[in-house]
Amino acid sequence: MSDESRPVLTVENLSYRIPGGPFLAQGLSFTILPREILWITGANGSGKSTLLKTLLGQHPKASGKINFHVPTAEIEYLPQLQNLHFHIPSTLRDIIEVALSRRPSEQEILETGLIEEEQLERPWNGASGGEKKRALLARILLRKPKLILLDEPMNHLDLKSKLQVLSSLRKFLERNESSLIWISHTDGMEDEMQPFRLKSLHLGSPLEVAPLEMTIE
Amino acid sequence: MTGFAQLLLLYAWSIPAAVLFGCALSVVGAHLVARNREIQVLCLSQGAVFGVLVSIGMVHLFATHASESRWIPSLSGLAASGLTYLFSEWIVRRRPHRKNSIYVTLFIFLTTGGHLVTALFPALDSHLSQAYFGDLATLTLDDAKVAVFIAVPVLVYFIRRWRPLTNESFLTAFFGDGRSSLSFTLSTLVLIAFSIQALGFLFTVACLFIPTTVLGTVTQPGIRLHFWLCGIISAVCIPLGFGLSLAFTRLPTVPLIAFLQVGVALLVVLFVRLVGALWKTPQTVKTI
Repeated sequence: MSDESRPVLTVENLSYRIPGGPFLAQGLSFTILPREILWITGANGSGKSTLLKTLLGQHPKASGKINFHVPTAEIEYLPQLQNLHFHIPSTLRDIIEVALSRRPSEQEILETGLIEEEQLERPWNGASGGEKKRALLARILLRKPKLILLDEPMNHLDLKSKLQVLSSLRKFLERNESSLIWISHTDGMEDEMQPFRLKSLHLGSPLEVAPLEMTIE
Repeated sequence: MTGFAQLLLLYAWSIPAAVLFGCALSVVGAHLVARNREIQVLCLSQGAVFGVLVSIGMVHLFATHASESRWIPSLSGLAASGLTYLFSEWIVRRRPHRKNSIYVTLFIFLTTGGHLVTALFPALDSHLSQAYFGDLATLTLDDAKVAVFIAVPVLVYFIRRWRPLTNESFLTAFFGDGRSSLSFTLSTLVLIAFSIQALGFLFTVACLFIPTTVLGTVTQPGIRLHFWLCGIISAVCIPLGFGLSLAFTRLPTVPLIAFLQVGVALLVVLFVRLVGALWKTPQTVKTI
């Protein structure tokens, strides 16, 4: 099997539910190959974030199989940004640097295309939500993962930042042959990620017992 | 040699042991506060106090030779804080949104337990006071040597691994609970349990929380400097407080050390803010 056709993640008949509540999804199956993007959409409460947490083992599955075919160290996850305050006084540069076992050069950080030079010394606790989000994405890209799971990464970002993020992710996926699972509220954004192979998954409302549709473009 | 210097020589092991232990606790404390584990650590500490008191009570009842039972309180404190940790982790994972109320209830339960044990064994009164307030002057030579033996490797580990440990703290703060590595958890438990038994509850929590909390009010120093300053504040305040309490015998050692830690940390904050204000580059004003 060539590297291109060896899956990064296979999910078979996955079901998960709100603890003590209704099923959010039943019998969900999909495979993600290198350089492939799984685009997940759905209404609020349809279980998009829970799906990512279930894949990562942070939420219990009701049934089914989840198999990652890459080492855990090569999987990166960015949850929705909460109001994150970090107790230890640090700059955006510090937060990016500690993600790696070695100290990255400034050039390396800037080459991610997500952070500008004058933002590096900004205190983490004083940075805007958008700056924090881009710094967190830069941390992820510098670790060169094979699979990235992003939960609504465009929240808190203005148009310029959104374009920066899209361009950085495109370049990164191209260079590293990585795959991406992206949760989004915004339809149409996926068109910006061409020419990557795109799968889209729409999760239904939990009250409708999650009708699923999956298309491969 | 002056009388005061001779007095200090008596504590040739106690002072360096307490300084090293205080430094290690302060660096670990910065990580624990970053991971939002403050209240859990109070529970672990109270668990260690409970374990120490129960074991001393048992030793009073059953042991025939003091030498047989020398390490029992330390081991019992470690076991009790370990069990408290496991129990608190298990229950909080099931009810993460009620974390703080669960920790507070556990803390009250363990505090009550400690007092009940003391009521059962009246000889424990002085031990209870020692477990809470501690006194460096009563640190035995054996305990001081063990303190050095524990503190040095923990400090080396935290200095050498500062980058992954800080990342772990950041991810724990960001993702919530459940990301602490085994090495971090074990070194924290051993450090806290032994500190409670040998140096007391107040010394332990003062070194864990005061430097990092006060220094956390500034935004500028940067991660490495924060850790260094936390350690240095304890390293300065412990011998200073100890020396002052020897010179002024009415002053209690550990409360004095805690008081000095607050004062010195505030001075550092003031200095950092002053330097920050002096070096601040003027903002360019854009005119429309």
